Amino acid sequence: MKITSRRKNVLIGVGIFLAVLLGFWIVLRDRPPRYNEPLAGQSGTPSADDPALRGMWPDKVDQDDTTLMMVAFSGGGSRAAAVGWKTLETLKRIPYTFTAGGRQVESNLAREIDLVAGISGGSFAAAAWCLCGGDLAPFQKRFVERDIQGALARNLFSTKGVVAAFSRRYARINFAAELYDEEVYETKTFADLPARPILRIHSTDLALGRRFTFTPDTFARLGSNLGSYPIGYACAASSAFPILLTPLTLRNFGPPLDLSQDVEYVLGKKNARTDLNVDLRTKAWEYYNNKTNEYIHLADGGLVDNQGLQSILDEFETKGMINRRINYSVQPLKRLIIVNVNAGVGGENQSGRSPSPPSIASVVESSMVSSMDVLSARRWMDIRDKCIEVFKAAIDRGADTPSLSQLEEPYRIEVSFRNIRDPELRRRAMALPTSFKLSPEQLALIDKVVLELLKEDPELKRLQASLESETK
Amino acid sequence: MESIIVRVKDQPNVDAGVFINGQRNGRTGVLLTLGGPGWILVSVDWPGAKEQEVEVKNTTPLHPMNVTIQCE
Repeated sequence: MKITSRRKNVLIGVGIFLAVLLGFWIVLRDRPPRYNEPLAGQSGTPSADDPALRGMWPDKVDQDDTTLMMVAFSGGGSRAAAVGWKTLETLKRIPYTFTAGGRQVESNLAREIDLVAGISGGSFAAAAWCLCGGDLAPFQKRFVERDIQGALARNLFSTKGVVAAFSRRYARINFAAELYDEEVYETKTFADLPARPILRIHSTDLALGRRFTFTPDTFARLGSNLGSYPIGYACAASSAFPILLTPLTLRNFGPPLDLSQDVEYVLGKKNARTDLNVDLRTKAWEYYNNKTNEYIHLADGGLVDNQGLQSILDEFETKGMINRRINYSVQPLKRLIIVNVNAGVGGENQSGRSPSPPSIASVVESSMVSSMDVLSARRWMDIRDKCIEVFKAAIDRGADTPSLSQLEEPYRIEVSFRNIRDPELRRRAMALPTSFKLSPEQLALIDKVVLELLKEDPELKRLQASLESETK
Repeated sequence: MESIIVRVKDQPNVDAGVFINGQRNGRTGVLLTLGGPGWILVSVDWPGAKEQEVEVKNTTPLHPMNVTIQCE
């Protein structure tokens, strides 16, 4: 068969194109992303009594020792970040006056936050609050008002996009992580965080199907140093929603720890039969200690806890911050304040109106979002029950237990679109998109509803009445 | 939530730090709360104190478990 000159040119062109692709693949296939670093000259978990890690007292000099305040920011893309940002801006406007060292300190409620937990979109607001020193204006400009998904999409067609297309290590999540690191958090790492508030960023370990929290303790189990890890990368892992973004990968360094010397592990094994949570935790430690599991792949934290409320529940555990604060009897605990910032949305599911099986989108919505909302509601009720237990302990034993002697009924403040009174406003808020881009109109709506929700929250009103009675 | 009170044996008035599972977590002689039932390791910040493993369950703030720590 005779090959025409035109066909010949096409074949040569295809050959050159395939050769270029092969060249890219050879050069870029092992291009690594930035990984977490190994612990240098250290082994084992960090000191359990490190004040910055464990929530020991006293607080920061500008915080009231008698108040313990925790905030959980839910997932929900830029919507969640904006709801978190507006909540913090509103709490900043609530005066909080206390006496420390014989002098009166004029502060605000947001400055009293001791712990911030963030999931997915909420992790961006949580991290920003811990790093910003009270000034959220840069975060508002760099993230809340910015078209983040547009910036991510542009990266697809840049050099980074080419690398991501050919590398089996550097993936789409890595240029998202780099964007957050460089343009939102100014390359700050966990070592740049202040002692307070304590930051808990949560993602999901895909191998274990359980929560992965960016703490020094967890990283030590990977033989890794959290201090040098960028905050932006942790937020990327927390918001790596499956399919839209690839999982983010961490390295698991050796040598393995001697778990037989780990008190928590040994007791965890002993309690495993009666406490399933402890059983799962010890199994996770065993998985990380098996150093043939060289890579840990993390996805969106919302896959296992979309509101960060499990993080607050954990603080009621024996070694949790709330429990230890109650037991720390030098200074009475007067106020326990928990703020649930839930940016969850959703309309009525209409699949019941049709005989056809629900669409794939509807099935995904029901299995990954709606079911998680039900679980989160259960966790919020569990927090209520825990608060009741603590308050009952104060009623029963406050007279002879110094730490509980002044405890007021714990405050559970909820910022949730479900509480919007105006049906039309609620419908509009519930229809906000889950994306990394918000229009000025959508931001104005969030601004309005968050302010209203906090203004009308009965628990915040009760707290403000208590604060006002103290200053009179 | 479970409740315990830890004391040093033969030293009812001693005020010392309490360690639960190796971490400082309260003081002797006052009510201490735990996240839930189960085995814990209790010790106190007192010379010669011996660590003790105890199973805590079915306690209340009004009926806490009393843990007495032996010292050498």
